[in-house]
Amino acid sequence: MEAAVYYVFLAMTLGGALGVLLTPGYVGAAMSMLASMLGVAGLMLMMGAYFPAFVMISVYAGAVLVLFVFVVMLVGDAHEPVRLWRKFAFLVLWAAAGAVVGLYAPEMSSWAESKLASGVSGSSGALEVAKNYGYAMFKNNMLAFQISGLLLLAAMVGVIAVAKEPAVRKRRREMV
Amino acid sequence: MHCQLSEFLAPALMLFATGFAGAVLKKNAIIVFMCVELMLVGAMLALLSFAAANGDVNGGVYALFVMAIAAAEVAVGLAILVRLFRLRGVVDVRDMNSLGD
Repeated sequence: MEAAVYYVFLAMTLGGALGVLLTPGYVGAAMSMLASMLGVAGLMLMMGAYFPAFVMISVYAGAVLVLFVFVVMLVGDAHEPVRLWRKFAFLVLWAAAGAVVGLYAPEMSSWAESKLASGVSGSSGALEVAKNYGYAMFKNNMLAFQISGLLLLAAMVGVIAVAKEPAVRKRRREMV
Repeated sequence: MHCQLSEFLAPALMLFATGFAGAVLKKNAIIVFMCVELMLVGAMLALLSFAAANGDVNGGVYALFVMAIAAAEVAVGLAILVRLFRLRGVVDVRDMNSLGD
């Protein structure tokens, strides 16, 4: 059963990546990339990297793709006719998500029951994982963490400086 | 959870190859950026699969740094793209040849 879920995530990852290349419009490419990112997050879950998987979903699906769609809104999509398969693409995605949930649900419920039976306080696996991440990030890699924060700040200032029209040119254009 | 290294390295390699092909072949700058993102995600998946195979938590932290750098890169790139679109009105990489003249 795990193999089936693995192949579903693999198909989402590679099909989404191919969709970025082959879809003619921007929005379709962004949606394909969303499918690919969700597949990658699923693969990360399967290898046991839970924290990066959820950060992957929130950063890529939540921030980067919204940025892409926002820029597509500014630039304007290539005008292509809506094809029939695109209406069914969401149905296929929902079916895949339902299949994953349906396949995992019995195992998850049995896992939760065993956890409840053994007592939650006895096993602190999730807390241990969070503690390890905290130590690794804020103790061993503190300098890299600060530098990446500084990089994000510099990128933010740079983006505003680049994307904003200079005030002088704007005033000149308004006068003309 | 089972963790066969090749099971996760293969999709990482295929993601990287697909992204590389798109970054080289596509003519649209937005699609090129998406393909660069795919390449970064492929590299990150390879890093995480090696980390999971070794049972090391530092790999996950490095993956977070990769995500931060990818977010900064795509923000700056798209800002340049928006500015370029205002100046030239196109987002085709074949038209961005002013430095080559």
